[in-house]
Parts: sequence; structure tokens; C-alpha cells
Amino acid sequence: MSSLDVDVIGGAYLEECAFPTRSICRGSGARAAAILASLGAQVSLHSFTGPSKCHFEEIARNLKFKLIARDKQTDISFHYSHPLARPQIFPTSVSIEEQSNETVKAKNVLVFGMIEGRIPVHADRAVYDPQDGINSKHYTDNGSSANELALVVSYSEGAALTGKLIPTEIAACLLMQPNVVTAIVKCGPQGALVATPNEMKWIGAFPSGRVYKIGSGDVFSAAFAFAWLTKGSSALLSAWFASRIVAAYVECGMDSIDALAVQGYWDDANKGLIERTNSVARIIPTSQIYLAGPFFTTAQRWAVDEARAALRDMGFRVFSPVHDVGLGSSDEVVQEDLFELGRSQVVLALLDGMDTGTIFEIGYARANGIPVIAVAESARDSDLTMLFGSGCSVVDDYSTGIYYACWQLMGDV
Amino acid sequence: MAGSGSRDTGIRPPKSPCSSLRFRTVLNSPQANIIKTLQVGDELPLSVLPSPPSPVVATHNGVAAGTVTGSQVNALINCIMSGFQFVAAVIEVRGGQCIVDVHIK
Repeated sequence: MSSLDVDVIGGAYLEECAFPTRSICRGSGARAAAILASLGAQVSLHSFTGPSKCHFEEIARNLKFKLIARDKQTDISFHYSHPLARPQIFPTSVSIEEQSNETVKAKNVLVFGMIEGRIPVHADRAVYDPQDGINSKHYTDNGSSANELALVVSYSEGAALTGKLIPTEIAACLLMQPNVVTAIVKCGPQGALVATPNEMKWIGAFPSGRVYKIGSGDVFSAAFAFAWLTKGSSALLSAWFASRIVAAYVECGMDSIDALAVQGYWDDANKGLIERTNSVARIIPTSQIYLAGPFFTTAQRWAVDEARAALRDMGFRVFSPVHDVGLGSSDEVVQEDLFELGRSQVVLALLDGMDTGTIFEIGYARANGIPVIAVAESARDSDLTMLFGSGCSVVDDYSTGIYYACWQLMGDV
Repeated sequence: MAGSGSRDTGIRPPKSPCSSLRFRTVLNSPQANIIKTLQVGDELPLSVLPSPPSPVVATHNGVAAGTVTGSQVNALINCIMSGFQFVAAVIEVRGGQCIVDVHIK
């Protein structure tokens, strides 16, 4: 068995995003298999497939990984309105598939939590990504074992698994579990904590031109697994490599990594390791993001709500006129809105319908030297002349605009 | 009817495999300066754009000629993003209108 062999255990699901429009047969397992195969690993994906089995088989052949699929009754699908939205999952209740006594035995494995129930695994070395937020399960809960186990968890998953709330305490608690040699706790804008029994270090993200977030966690785990399992890289370098591959992925959501670019990604990872590894988490500024946008239709209000929720989920302070001041006459709301605008660090403006209030807020911000990130999904260039000419950053993608506002506040752009 | 039945419909899987996906369509958002240079039989490579809302673009010598939309576009996106190469072969150019046959390369 060559050292490039990786067995992936994970979901094969249908995924759809409304904006930007995507429709794809993936899921964590299939996406990780695609990434690993494109990086040069010999991949076997163990999963469940429903009526769409033939599509997954065809994709596996084309992306050059082996699909070992057990049958299930229905396809599971995820629908996202935008890449930062919480998905709708169909069917709404999924039965745990009948588990045979069959288990996977392999040298190197990458294991994801699965909606249908995870396939038990016995491995020499394993990377485990529990996937399921506050409902996350421990790797050994289904009888799985590994001689060496690396855990890749989000903050919420780590908190659920350990009952701890501080990233270093989460990592320390995870490292106390049998055979866990590495724990990575992903903490959004603060970076990711990479913990081993010898050290705890923080890594960061690589800013990208666009952010297609769906599946980025899967990609991180897959790239980490490639570096750690097949290259024998340290956990820290593997995590930096994973971060760089994620930046390449989120540019457009393509999960085949260009072979010609991989060496450059390793170079970037090594540079990150040397120049950007930190002993402490990055601090999220307490200054606020002003969320400008119309809220006069259901769609407009929904867009404001979603942007505010996404920013707050990432730990940022947001001032949203409709949420924080409310509706009212000009005498009642304008001065308070402008006061808060004047003490904001950055403005995120949603340019739906070129609302005059939003345009005014943008001009007011620029006149006061406040950076503006403007989301213009369907605007004419001629409507944006003043924005371009006054130094606004204009993007045509909602999620990317939200990330740009975060990066602006964090000083990354 | 509100309050009854189920909306548990999920996402429709592709109707046909990528290897047999083929359809005729008219290029949307045709770029006049490119369309007028096209010949019947030209094969325009298709790619998925990262930006909304029309994600599949047909190019000629690296320049956008128009976009592909319609009921089959979701299946087309799935195939292109899964590494299959598709082209829009020019069937007819009538003024600014360009009819193409979308198929695997």
C-alpha cells in the first residue's frame, strides 16, 4: 500500500446554491475525494448513495477516485440561498441507514460526520472532521479506532465535544482523548488553533478575490489530510497548506486543484509557517461595521438580516439602522444613524435598487474617510461611477462583500 | 394549502449523465462584436463563472461570446464543475442571435 493511499469516509449529497448559482453532486466525502485526487492521492470514497448513484459514479471516474457506495433509499440534498446561509436539508428527517457489520480498515483515513450515520473505521492514522456543529459526535462513538488521530473541528464543534468555551481549553481537552495527537480548532476571523502535545500555535487565512464558502471546511480537512497523512508534514505546516488550498478553492468553488499551482501553494504555506504563525489568536476589533442597505421589501429586509447575522456569527460588532434604531421619521432616526455611521470603522453597503438612503450613507462615509464595501449584484456600471471614483470597493457577490468588510476591519486588505 | 402536506421536495438530481448531456439553446447576453466573427461549426469552450447570476459563459479566443441558460444549466454546471469539458458548437448565426449545440468535448 503506497503512502499516497487515502480512504475517505463521508457524505455524497446533492448541493445547490441560488447566488452564485451552483448545482452539484458533492457532499463532504465526495468533495474531499475530489480535492485529494487532484493533489495526487489514491483515493477510495466510502459513502451512501441513493437514486443519484449513477451520477456520483460518473463523477468519481472523471475525477479519478474510487467510489465504494452502499445503497440508501433517498438522496440527501442541501439548498443554500447564498454561501453564508444556513442550508435547508432535504429530507427534513433522515433515518440512520442500516449499518452492516462491515467496517473500513485502512492505513490512512479521512473521516467526516455523516447525516446517515458514520461508517466505522479502523485505521493507522486518521483525520476526523465531525461536521455537525453542536450535534457533533466523538470519533470513537461508533466503535472507530486509530493509532494516531488528528481532529479538525470548528469552534462550535469543539465546544460541543468538550464543554469548553476557550479555544485553547477545547484543544487541550481534545488532546487528552486516546490517541489524539493533533487538534485543530477553527475560529473564523481569529484564525485556527493548531495544537499538539508540544505546542499550540495559531494560523491565519489567505485573503482571496472571491469567497465561495460552501464546502470550504471539507477542503480544509482534505488538504490537511493530504499533507499530514501522505506527505508526513507537521500538523502546523499541514494546516498552513490547508489554509492556502482553501483560499484557492473559495475563488470559484472548483474542487480540482491545478497540479501546476500546487508547488506555489506549498511555498505560500511554508512562508505562512515562518512569517505568520502566532502564539495568540488574532483580536477581532471592537469597532463596528455599519450595515447600509434598504429594508422596504421582504427581500431587502431579508438581505440585511442575513448579512447582519453572518457578521455577528463571525464575532463582529454591527450597527444596522433598521435593527438598532428602527423605523421612524427623518427627525427620529437620521441623526442617530449618522452618529453611528461616523464612528464606524467600515461600511458594508447593499446596493439593491440603488436606494437613495444607502447612496447617501456611502457618500457620507467616504467624505469622512470611512472605507466602503459595496455589494452590487445587478447594478449598471454607469450607476457605480461615483463609487469607483471615490475609492469604494465594489463587489458583485453578497458573501464576498461580507468577507471583504471583515477583512477591512481586521486590516487584511 | 397552508398547514398541510409536505414541502420536503429536495433538489432534483440531473436527468442525464454528463457523458450524454446535450441540448440546443440560444446564447444569452450575446456580445455583438464576438458573435459577428463566429462561423458555423466553431466550438466555444464553456466555463462556470464565479459571479452571479448567469454562471456558464461561452468564450471565443478567450473572450466572452454569451452565456448559456435554461432548464439544463444546473446539470451543465454540475458536469463542468466535475471536470467534464463542454463546448457550445455554433449551429447558426442570425444577426445578433447565435444558436448553439451544447455537448461534451
